[in-house]
Formats: sequence, C-alpha cells, structure tokens
Amino acid sequence: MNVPLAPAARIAPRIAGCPKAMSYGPCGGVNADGTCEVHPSPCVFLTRELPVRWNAADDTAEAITGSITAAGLEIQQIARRRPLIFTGFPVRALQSSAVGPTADALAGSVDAVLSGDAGRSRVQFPPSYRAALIAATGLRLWMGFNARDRNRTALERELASLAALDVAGVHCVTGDHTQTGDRPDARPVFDLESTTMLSRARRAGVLTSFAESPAAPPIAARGARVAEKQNAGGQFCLTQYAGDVEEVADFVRLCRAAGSAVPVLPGVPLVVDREGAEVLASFHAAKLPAGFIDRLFAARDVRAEGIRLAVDYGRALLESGLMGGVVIAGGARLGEEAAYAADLAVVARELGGGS
Amino acid sequence: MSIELRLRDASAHCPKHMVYGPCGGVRADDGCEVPGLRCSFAADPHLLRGLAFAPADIDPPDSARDSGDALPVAPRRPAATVFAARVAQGTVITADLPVLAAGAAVVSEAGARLAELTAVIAGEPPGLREALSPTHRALLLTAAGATVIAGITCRDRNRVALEGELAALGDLGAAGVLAVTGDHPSSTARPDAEPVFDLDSTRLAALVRRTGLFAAVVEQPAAPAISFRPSRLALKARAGAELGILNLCRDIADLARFAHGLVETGAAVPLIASVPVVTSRAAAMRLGGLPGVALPAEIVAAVSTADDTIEAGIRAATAWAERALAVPGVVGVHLSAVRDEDDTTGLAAVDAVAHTAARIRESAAA
Repeated sequence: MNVPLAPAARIAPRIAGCPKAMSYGPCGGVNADGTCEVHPSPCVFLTRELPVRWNAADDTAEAITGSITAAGLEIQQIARRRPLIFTGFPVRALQSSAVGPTADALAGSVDAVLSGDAGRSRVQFPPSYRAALIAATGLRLWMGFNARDRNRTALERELASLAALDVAGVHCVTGDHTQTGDRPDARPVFDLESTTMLSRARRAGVLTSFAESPAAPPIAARGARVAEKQNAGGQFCLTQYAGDVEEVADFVRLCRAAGSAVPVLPGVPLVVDREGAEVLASFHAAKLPAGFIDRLFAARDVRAEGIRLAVDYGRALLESGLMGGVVIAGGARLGEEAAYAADLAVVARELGGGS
Repeated sequence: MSIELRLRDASAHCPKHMVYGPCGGVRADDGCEVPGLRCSFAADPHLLRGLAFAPADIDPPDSARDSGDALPVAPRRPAATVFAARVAQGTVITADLPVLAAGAAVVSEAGARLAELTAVIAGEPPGLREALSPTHRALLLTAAGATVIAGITCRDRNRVALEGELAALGDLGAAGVLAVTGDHPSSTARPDAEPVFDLDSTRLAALVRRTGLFAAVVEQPAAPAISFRPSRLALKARAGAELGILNLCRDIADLARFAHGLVETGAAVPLIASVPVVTSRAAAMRLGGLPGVALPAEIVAAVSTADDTIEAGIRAATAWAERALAVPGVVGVHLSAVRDEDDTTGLAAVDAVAHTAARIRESAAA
C-alpha cells in the first residue's frame, strides 16, 4: 500500500531485504555461516562494500551541544584513571520492588550498571521509568536502548528523559528482531538503528556506547564498522562475548587499525549455575573463552568456579592493557536475581570496580 | 465476499492498520486523514455492524506465557478506584496538559497548578515535538500532587513497548490511560517518524483494563460514519473502556444526538464533553476560521469582541460546560486550552484551565 509520506531525511539508503531495514549494517546477528538471525538466507550486507560510511547528513539537527550529565562526567573522570567496571543489572521484568535488593547488592562495587534487554521477557518497563527507579538507588546507570519497539519520536522522548534523570550513558543497539524472543507477535519497528541513535543520544547530553560482535561475520570488517559508529557519535564500544583474551585483543587492534580510538569494554561472562550457562549459549554471536563451559560443568561448586573464571578472565583482559574496562554480565536464575547481583559485585570488586 | 473478509480488507487498506475502524480522522467527504486516500471503513455502515471485539486479539502468544513474563492481569489499582468513583458521582473535570516544552520543572509546576482537577490527561498530541517520556511526565505530575490519566497513542510504539508503558504507569500510581490510536505521523509535527500502529485504540483500551488502570477512550461525534459513532464507543466499552471523551462539538445538539445514540446501543458508557478554553483574540480568529475545527461559534464571538479576553474565554468556557453537563449521560467536562503563541511555557494556558475548572465547580455547587 502506498502511503504518501514526507521525504525521508536519511541519506544512506535502507538496504532491501534486511528484516531490520538497516542502512548501517550488518548487525551483530549474522550467524557464523553468514545467514541472518531471522532468515535462513544470507545477510544482505555481506555482498556489499563495507563499511557503510556514516553520513553526517543523517544527523539532521543542530550540532552536538557538548553538555553531559553529572553521572556521565563522573564516569569520564574514572575512565581517566583506571579501567571502567560495569555489570548487568539483574531484575525480574516489570517488578519495581526487585530494583532495591539488586541495587543494594551492587552498591559500592561497580562504576555503572547496564540495564538491558532480555529475549525471554521482551516486555520491560520503558527505559526512562527504569532510569527513575535505578536513579533513586544512587547507582550510576548505563541504559540499554534498542530500536525494535519504538519509533524515533518515542525514542527521542525517552532520551530527553534519560538525560533529565541523570543517566550516565546510553547503550544504543539496533536490537534483536521481534522474531527472536518471546514476543514474535509484535511489529518490528526499526525506524532508527544503533548508528542513527548514537548521534541523537549525544545531542540529548548523555555518554554513548554501542555494541559490536567481534565473532560475527564479516569479522575483518567489524573494526571499520566501529570507526563509523565513532564518527556517528559513539564513545564506548561494549562487545558481545568474543572468545579468548588474544581474540578480543585482536579485535581491539582491528579497531585501532581502522582509525577508531574508542575504549573497548568486552563482556565478561559470569555463570553460577547450569541455567545461566544455557542462557549464555542462546546469545547470538556469543563466543566464550576456550574451555569455559567445560571447566564450569566439571566443577563441584559451579558458583565458586564461575566466579573464579570470571575474575581470571576479566583480570587477563585488563592486564592486556588494551581494554577500556569490562562489562560483567550473564544470566540469572528466575527469582534469584539479587543473589546473582551479589556474585556480580564480588567479581566487580576483584577487578577494581567502585574504587 | 463475507463481512469478515471485507473488514480484513478494510484493515489492510488502512494506513494505520486499524482493526476496529474507522478512526476519528475521517473527513466529511470520507477522505482519510492521510492526504489522497479514502477511508476504507467509513463508506459502508453495513460493514461496520459486523465489527465485534475479540479478547484474543490482545492475548500474548504462548511463548510469552511459557517464559513467565507476560503482562500480568492486575486487579483494579487504588488510584483507578478513586477516579472511577468520581466518574460514578458525575463530577469529573479533566484537562489536557498544554505544556509543549521538554523541561521537567515546567511539567512539575503545571502539575501543582492542576492538582485540583479530577485528572490531568497528559498525552502526546500531534503538535508536540520535544517532550519528556510518558512515564517521566506521569511521575513528575503525580509527585506534584496531580492525578494522572496518561494519553497513550499507538502511533510510536509497538505492542511490546505499549505493554511496558502500561505496566510502568500502573506501577507509578497513574489513575488510568486515555487509549487513542493517534494521528498518522504525516499529519503530526514528526512526519518523518515511522508509523507503527501495531494496535489501535480499542485493543489498547482492552490492555489498559487488564493492567488494572482506568480505561478512557475518545470518540469523534462529527466524523463519518456519524451514525456509527455511538456504536463504535459501545464496541470500545465491550473491549474494556469505561469512559468516553467526546471531541469538540460545534453545537450542543451534536453532543445530545451522540448521547442519545449511545443510549440506543444499550451501552451505559459515561461521557465527558470537551470544552475549549480560548483566551486570546488571535487564537479565536485563527481557529474559528479553520475548516474542520469544531470551535463553538459562541466562544469565538465572545473572545473576539471582549476587552478582557482571558475573562471572556473563561466565562464562555464555563457557560458551554454548564450546557454540556445538562445533557443526559454527560458526567463531566474535559478542558482543552488553546495555547497562545507567546505563552512559551504553556503555564498561562495552565492557569486559564485551572481558573475555568474552579469556576465550573462553583457554578455546579451553587
């Protein structure tokens, strides 16, 4: 059906055949064999010239003001003296009473918490309401933000509120397609995508980050994609789990070779039970360090071994001297989110968080 | 073609993917609010009688139930109970939030000044550009002492995002939600935004009720198919709506005709009549001259000829409200302030609304 619309402002064209209608692909959902996360067909970006260059004309509004929230300034100050230690923020979806216990467990051990998306519970409180709840606990929040469920109008209003609520940073991801996760009935929106949200978030006055999947094809082109996201306004790169320390280091070198200086904060998986291992295994393009799952399942005390593995891996990443910090996260068993948060806090403290 | 198939066809041709159409944007000539299209629902009243609400339309899929994270069906929340009691008493005065700025301080100040109203309806009207998020505004207004009905449209969020908004609004203590489909982006201040329309007002109202919030909806008495409009509100009531706010009518007779038609459907939905609060000559002239804007002639005339336009606007709105409240089935009024161009924060409009509400309460008590 032809609905006449005002001329679109975007300059880089959307690519026909991408289920997320992306311009700046490929996303992190490309399978190892080059197929799409929702289609058995090959990702349409893999046959194109990459990276897709950031076109500043996509940023239709006035120049970035340079104002940053108070929490964002604190994060910048910490980043100048040591690596940043972020953790996930495990809570049951739609339960404000769960925020306090998780926050108590993490207070004093982390520099910021990343409140993200979950495939098994797509319905979540809106970002700004989560920010209001978490801000009340005194923790610095790094808010996960995706383009799947809201168009640019709704996203920009969320960003305005996130800045007003003193969020430290916004993690701009395109988001999994609705065909993955527990709500395939919802309409996929994807009016914006990671790259086009970054400039908007910067304008709103928050620090920005983006995701990259170092282990997803086209692996060699991922560094250049990071450089383009930096051009679009991205300030930190939070990676998907990307394998052994040397593999992550190779990715950082790939970014540097492509001209990107953004600090890279790789994911450090913390698994304390078998359910957590299963959740982790379900993540698209996640690559765990060699032997990780085997060591975990061989251990008599899975929880103690999981904490030990996370601390060792995190420490090795930081000792490489190439990382801007780490993000410790993983899957919590339903109903045991606060206990899992306490384990996250142990790892975070060991790695120097909160100091 | 069966009626069911023809309805599905109408839905497929609607730029807002309405299932329970037609929306309130239908022009007098059956044209769509999106220029160049014709309304696929309005032309055939016989077809519209085939519409029936199916609760399964808003059920989450099995996958969401299996994961244990489907939107929970909640009992009526305390703030919703209080508002429902005011509706039952027939003493409702609501108002739009005429604040167009994105500043938290202005929203809080407006909330404090409107705390005496039965509820502030904080929505996302088509002219709004920069704004805070719906839940953030509801938090600010509630903290300032106002009762909040959040106006939520289906324009900018899919059903997953909408369910999250409803859960948050219930959690933060909003009384209810005004469930509207919303204008197509092509007729808003954000024409470049992707039109989402995963749900429509009828299905959203049903979700609102499931969440334990008070469910209000809008109906447009003057839009085609005019004879079907009361039945459409009755349909929304079957889906869960508990209150119908009628858009501006040019004439009390239009209001009375709609209220009478609603009685004939057998649905006992309480009604609220919209009352424009116009306090400047420029606004009266500008709106009075626009086709399709149903501004009552009395109000335009009163404000256009007065020396003290604010007092004249408040008095004219109060008089109109008294006449509307005399119509059987009308339990209250919804004040809609027309903001002056030089009222940059909207707080002057907020004050005009607050004064009008006080005047209406005095006159009702007398």
